[in-house]
Amino acid sequence: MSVSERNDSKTDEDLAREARAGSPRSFEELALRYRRRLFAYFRPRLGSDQDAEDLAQETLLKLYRNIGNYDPTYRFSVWLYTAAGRLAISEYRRRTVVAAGLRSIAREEESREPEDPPEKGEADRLWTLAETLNGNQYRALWLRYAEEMPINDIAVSLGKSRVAVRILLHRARTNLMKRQGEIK
Amino acid sequence: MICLWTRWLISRSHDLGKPLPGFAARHAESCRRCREYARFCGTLPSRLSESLPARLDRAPASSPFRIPRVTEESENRRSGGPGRRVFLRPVLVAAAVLALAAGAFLFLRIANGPSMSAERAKAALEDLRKVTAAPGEWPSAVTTAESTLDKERRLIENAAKSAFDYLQNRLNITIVRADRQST
Repeated sequence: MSVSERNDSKTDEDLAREARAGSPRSFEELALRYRRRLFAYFRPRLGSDQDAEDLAQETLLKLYRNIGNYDPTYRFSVWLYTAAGRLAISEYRRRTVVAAGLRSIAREEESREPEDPPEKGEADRLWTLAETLNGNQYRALWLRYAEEMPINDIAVSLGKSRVAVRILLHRARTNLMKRQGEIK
Repeated sequence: MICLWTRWLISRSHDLGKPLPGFAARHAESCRRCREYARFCGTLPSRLSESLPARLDRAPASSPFRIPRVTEESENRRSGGPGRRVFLRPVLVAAAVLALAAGAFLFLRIANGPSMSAERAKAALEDLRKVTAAPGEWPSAVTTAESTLDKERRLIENAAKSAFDYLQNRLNITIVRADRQST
């Protein structure tokens, strides 16, 4: 979490503990911290901004309903991304037919990419490239570098073994570098 | 092959914080691609985290998350904290499943049962006629019922008459039946 967003002295776990004790405002603060992150997490696999936003809202609502099950000894982000991953899988399955159409659109967009030079900075372009990775590779990369999670926590969040996560990250780095054109 | 192995070890050193083995480090120094990979992996965290705020700013500015009112109120009503679990009662579920199975079995039995033949249909119709035909003793039964009603009516009339007589004598008045008065 960036410094600008963590200006509040309370940690995510503190807020989650308060929300668990019955404070909706604390949960709204948590939601404020994570809404855009969830959006970025979901966006690559979903068809539109609206879908990603809806799923982020749905995830937060589900977490709020189940906040009583949160164990404060674990990082809140791990709990959040575990739930997010499960919801995302259900959503992707539900939208299989739609996704097939969207993939073709994505392929078209990808093929257009070289003609359209990115206006964003080089670093931002890296995230854009990361979005074109396989879904699990992107999610592992996001949890590792955006959420700064250790391998164990990523494994819990993605429901995979530690070795599987390391393989995902290795492939993500290799593919990202290839796409960036650093390996010819 | 050694390139693949070296890059895997470079990734491992970044993920687990383990030092790169000597042979891999030596290879990475001599191999341009592996050296570039090591450099790429080394700069990746800072490059990605630097660009994260800009990345997050690209998310559409929608209305902030608000807990729906109904959920909030229902949460407040619960004394055991905001979390809620729904448990299925196994006995009820088993009973429901059994009822469904029995229903399905009966339906299939009826649906797949032998169709009624013409002879059976005729016999059934005949039985139905017998049941619905008015028996011979019905007229006398009606008469008996009517006579009973007549007796009842007479009893009520007598009771009313004696009540009228009592009231006339007691209150010193004359009560006349409306139908007799009109005639």
